[in-house]
Amino acid sequence: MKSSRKSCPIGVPILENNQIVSKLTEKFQDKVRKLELHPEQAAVAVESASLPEVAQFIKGDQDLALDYIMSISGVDLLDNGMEMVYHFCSTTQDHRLTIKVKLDREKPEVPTIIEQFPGANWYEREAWELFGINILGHPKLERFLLVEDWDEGYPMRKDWDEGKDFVKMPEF
Amino acid sequence: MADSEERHRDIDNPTAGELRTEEFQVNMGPQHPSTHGVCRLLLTMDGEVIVKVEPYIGYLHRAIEKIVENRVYNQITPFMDRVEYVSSMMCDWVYALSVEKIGEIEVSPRAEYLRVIFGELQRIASHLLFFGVFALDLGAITPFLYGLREREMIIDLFEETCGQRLTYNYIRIGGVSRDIRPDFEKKCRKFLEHMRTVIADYHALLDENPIFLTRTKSVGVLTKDTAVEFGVSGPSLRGSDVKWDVRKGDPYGYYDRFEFDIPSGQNGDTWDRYLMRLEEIKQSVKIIEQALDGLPEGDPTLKIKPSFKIPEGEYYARVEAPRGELGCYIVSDGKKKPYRLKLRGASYNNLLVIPEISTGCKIADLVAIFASFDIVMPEVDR
Repeated sequence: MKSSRKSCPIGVPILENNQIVSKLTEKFQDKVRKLELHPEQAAVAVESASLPEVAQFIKGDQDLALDYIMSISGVDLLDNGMEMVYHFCSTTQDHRLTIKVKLDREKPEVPTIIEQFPGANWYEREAWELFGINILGHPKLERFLLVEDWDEGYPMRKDWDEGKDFVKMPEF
Repeated sequence: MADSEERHRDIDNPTAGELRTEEFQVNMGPQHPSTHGVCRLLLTMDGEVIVKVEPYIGYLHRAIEKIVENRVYNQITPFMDRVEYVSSMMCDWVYALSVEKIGEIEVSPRAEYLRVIFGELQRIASHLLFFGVFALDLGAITPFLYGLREREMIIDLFEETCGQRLTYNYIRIGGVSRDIRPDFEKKCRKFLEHMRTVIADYHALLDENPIFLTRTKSVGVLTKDTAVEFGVSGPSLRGSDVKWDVRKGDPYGYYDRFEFDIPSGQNGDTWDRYLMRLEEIKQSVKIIEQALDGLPEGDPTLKIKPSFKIPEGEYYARVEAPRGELGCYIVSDGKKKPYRLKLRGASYNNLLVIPEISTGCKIADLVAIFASFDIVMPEVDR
């Protein structure tokens, strides 16, 4: 698939998915764990506290060069806690990496990666606002999607009470 | 205060720096013609010079990510149309792509070709609107009429095929909603021929206009590093000399079968971002012609049940939309509805970077900078 790129000048060697993962597990030992999500996507689970360190490494490392943040999503897994899912890619090497951080649902906290990836700013703020995930070290945690005086909890959480006005679809 | 004094020396009046000035705040928006939607920019001004820009978003937040958790997969495509209505083909596409990846749903070759054709037509339509609106924001009315004239032809082609002029609901899970009409190819080729000739008119209209040049060249310079760090994508990223395009770097659909170039700018200023879009129109014309040449026979539609289950899993799919990388992250728990659906709009990051590059400009420059990123607000708020 990649070999068909003729007219595009970017085309440096590309790491295989397992090479990316083993590079990270070698460097961070037990702080990083391999995940099997989708055969096309390399994925690792990272401990909450070491996230900024890992972010710094994947950005600065010459082979990885994961310099681009695609998206950050919060996921509420109810009994299994919460997750922050970070999607990174490289604009020079063409590979991508998914990083998952498991969070305690009672006290979800994750350090910010704004310093390494300024583009993460609003994604983190969104997760804070809609999921109630506390972003440690974020300079501006203020409401920006919901109304300013919103006091009805975190709407994207799975156990959020919709209230009477929420119109549900009939089951198919 | 040193910064402030420096700024004043830039102003034509040399004595201005000696006057005592005070900063004040101006609201630009939410209802402002040049914010292309409802976006509020809180400007801190020192005289006519911008000291700080703070974007306030959320006026269009429709909670699409929450609503779709209560809808079965087929019901979600119309919602995707409304995420970014200026290029709704792309939103349908990225959503279909992520469901197909998790569910391992096969797409027929004819459908893949049709997706490329309609996706690229959509890109041209979106860039034509940009061309018109960008010039309109800078005070020129004629380009708007030119841009809409050609865009209308594309919209007619869309309407003939799927019955809609703005929210198409055309690219569905597993294929497209219906096949093209027998005379589509002839009409499409005629349009492409027309597009090739008028693009020279577009260049003639603006490229040598001294007012246009003064207002765009070296205005709002976005450096390569800042662009990548802030996650800027699409023509705005390529204007800053980053040759990155999802169609090449992470090919989806059949994009690896087509021959096309990625244009890139040098300075990352407003002018480069404008030029990238005109160059992309030319490349899109090239792609559509190749796709029409190789269009295979077959049935592009997929008969699927109104509600179906896809296996457990997750996937982050992305496409190169006219404004940049459009992403859709789906977590499936094996049921009929997505457990979590997250959308990444290109304008989200493109808007985030505007405060970085517009300090020190004047309000009129901010209008040009804002327009050059081609921000579409519903994509930011979702």
